[in-house]
Amino acid sequence: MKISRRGFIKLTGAGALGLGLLPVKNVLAGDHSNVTSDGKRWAMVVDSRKCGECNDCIVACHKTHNVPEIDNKEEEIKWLWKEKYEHAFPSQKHDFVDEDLKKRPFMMLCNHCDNPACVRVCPTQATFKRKSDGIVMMDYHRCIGCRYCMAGCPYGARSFNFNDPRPFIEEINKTYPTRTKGVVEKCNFCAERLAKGSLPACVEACPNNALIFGDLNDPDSEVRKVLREHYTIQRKPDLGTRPSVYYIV
Amino acid sequence: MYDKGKIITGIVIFLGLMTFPFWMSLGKAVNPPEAEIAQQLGEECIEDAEYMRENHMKLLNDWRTEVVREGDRIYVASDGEKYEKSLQNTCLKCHAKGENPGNVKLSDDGLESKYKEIDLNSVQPSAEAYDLESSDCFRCHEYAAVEPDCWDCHIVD
Amino acid sequence: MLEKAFSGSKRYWSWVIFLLVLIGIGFGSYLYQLNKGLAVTGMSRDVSWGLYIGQFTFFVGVAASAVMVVLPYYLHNVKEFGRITVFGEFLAIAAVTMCLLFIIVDLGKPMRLFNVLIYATPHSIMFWDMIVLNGYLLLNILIGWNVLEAERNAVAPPKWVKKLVYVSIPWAVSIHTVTAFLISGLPGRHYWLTSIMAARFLASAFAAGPALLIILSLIVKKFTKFNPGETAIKKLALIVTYATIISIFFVILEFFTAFYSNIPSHMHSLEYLFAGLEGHSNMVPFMWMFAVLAVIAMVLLINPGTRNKENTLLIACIAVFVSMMLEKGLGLIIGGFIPNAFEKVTEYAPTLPELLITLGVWAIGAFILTILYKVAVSVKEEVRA
Repeated sequence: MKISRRGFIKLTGAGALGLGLLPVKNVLAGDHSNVTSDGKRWAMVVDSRKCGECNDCIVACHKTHNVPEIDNKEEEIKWLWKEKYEHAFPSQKHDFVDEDLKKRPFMMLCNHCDNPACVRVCPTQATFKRKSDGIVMMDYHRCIGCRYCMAGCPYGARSFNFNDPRPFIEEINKTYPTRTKGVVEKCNFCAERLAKGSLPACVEACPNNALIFGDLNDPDSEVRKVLREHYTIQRKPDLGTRPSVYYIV
Repeated sequence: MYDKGKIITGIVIFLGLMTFPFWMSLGKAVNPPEAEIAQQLGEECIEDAEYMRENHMKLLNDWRTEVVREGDRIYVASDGEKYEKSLQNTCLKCHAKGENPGNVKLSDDGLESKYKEIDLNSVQPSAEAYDLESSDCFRCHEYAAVEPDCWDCHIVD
Repeated sequence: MLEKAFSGSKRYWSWVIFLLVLIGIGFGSYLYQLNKGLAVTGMSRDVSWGLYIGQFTFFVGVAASAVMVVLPYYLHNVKEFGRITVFGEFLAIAAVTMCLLFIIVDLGKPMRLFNVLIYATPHSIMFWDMIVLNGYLLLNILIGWNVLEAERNAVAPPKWVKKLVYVSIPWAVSIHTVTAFLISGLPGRHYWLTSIMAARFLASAFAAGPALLIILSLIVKKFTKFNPGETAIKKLALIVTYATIISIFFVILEFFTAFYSNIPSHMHSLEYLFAGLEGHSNMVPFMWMFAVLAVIAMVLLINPGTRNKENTLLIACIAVFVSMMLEKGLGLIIGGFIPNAFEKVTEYAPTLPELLITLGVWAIGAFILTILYKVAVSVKEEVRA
């Protein structure tokens, strides 16, 4: 076959370019997850009136999921924690908030938004919204640790592993993995417990039943009942993220 | 040839460096490790040894995509048995040295579930101490010089 | 032509070795960071991007400034820029390389870098940033090298180079538009949620980039036999002038919207940066330095007497570069995270490893620039000899 050196190089270049564009076919092929959609929409209602002084939910969550306990506020990792009203709902605060509300703890966690900004910005889809149940999941195998999702989240719900977490875990739960340094993590609505028919660890652990969990798509679920019967607010609703966590104030 | 001496010396050194692995281990052949995968009474691996030898990494990769991204946690083996897709909770049940599943401890999450758990054949691994370096996984992988980094996250104890 | 980089004066070699030492130190610090994790930096759960990303956003602008020489020359026949388009393109190569390096050193799992390619995600702006940055790098390598080679051989560059040049012009605009889009579409970050973010990027880029180009041209004129040309430098100075004025104007626009509306979420970040918030005022001296230097630069540049004299022009350009570096390279990114989603303040300050790694990346940029400029200057000296 008569081909000049120049022609050969052109051909090789075109071939390499074609191979390089292979990932594009995945994009064009669209989403092909073959999950039979139960079509659940997991959500949580936090009844802040029932919130006591304990930390049972936080302890349960962090112990179950091997969340490290890092003293340093800058590098800490938290999936579930408490904030005061003025910090949880900064656009709702004013000068004459009643004393009880001022002191009350509000549980903060990932909102598992319906329109999540973090999912929109993740360059590898390491964080993604599961179609089957609406949980905003983390794929720790894929995360490159760019922390774009942390910049995108309007709720400060995500933590980054600045350190190797293992030395900071007092009591390892051997049925659940840890993460490594360099990835972002957050609450996962206890997807692994939900898969076995259990409730999330925090919901179970609360001694006052302040956390109500269920499927928004099921009109008879406990969450739907509670939402029908009480006035509830959400964090930063004007941002259009449509969180799945509601608060009874 | 310009600088003949330098060039030939350079080539010789280069070839010596590049072939170093070959002549360094002359006469020191190492036998592949016997895969003494602990066989438990009454328990079998999810698939047969031939299949697993060839496909265990692909299987694990597929599992991690299916569990994390699609929420599909049930593996139906070729013999119809159902298992939980979990390295930590299924595979390491057996493939861990010093394992004695006869006395299985419940998991350490310290919670009493108010709700009934679906039985998916997922028995929690024993809390006994376990020597990573002489584990089944490590022995073969070290020989093959293929380092999986699963243990950075998945607990081996 | 690369062989030209291997022969030079003692001063050239001392400079190159100095840069290699800095690169070595930076690399060592990076290994330390890889080992221990990003805990060795000053970044935190609240301020999750710091100096690395700040420098990245700044140098993206510097990279795009090549277009400020290329556009007038290729589209409007401003002949004076013909001598220095290659310098603009080579500066772009060095700057884009620094951008890519800053991103890599910032990653928590850099070994998974190719996931961005394998799992291509068009709805993520970071994906597009990777594409436009690498594309721009490739464009400038192809264009700069071929134009220089053609000049060496006293022929016109091949026709396809001109086509690439036309592509590089909108592409340059795209690199900082996309980088601006990276931050200007995030619902929770009010400091960044402004329509004029991309315009601000362009304005500060066209001020800082050509300013650096002028500084480099003056260095080339002083230390080599090649003269970039009085008119070229004067025209560049004019571009820097207008861009500086527009940049300052844009900052004023931001202040107006924030403080006339008096909406707390709009004001808080600016308050933190320029006055301090709740007793925290780490950034205040840097932001005022930016403001003062920008005004000094503007005064020196508007006045034709000081603009056309080389020593005052040099001061003005350094002032422009440093002030834009402070505003984009530090203030912009840090300000976006403070106050955090809970209206609390967590301050940020870079640590020593972070600074050494940044220095290492600067040194790599300077090294690439030195090598490429050496080649360009040697070729031009040879041609004119």
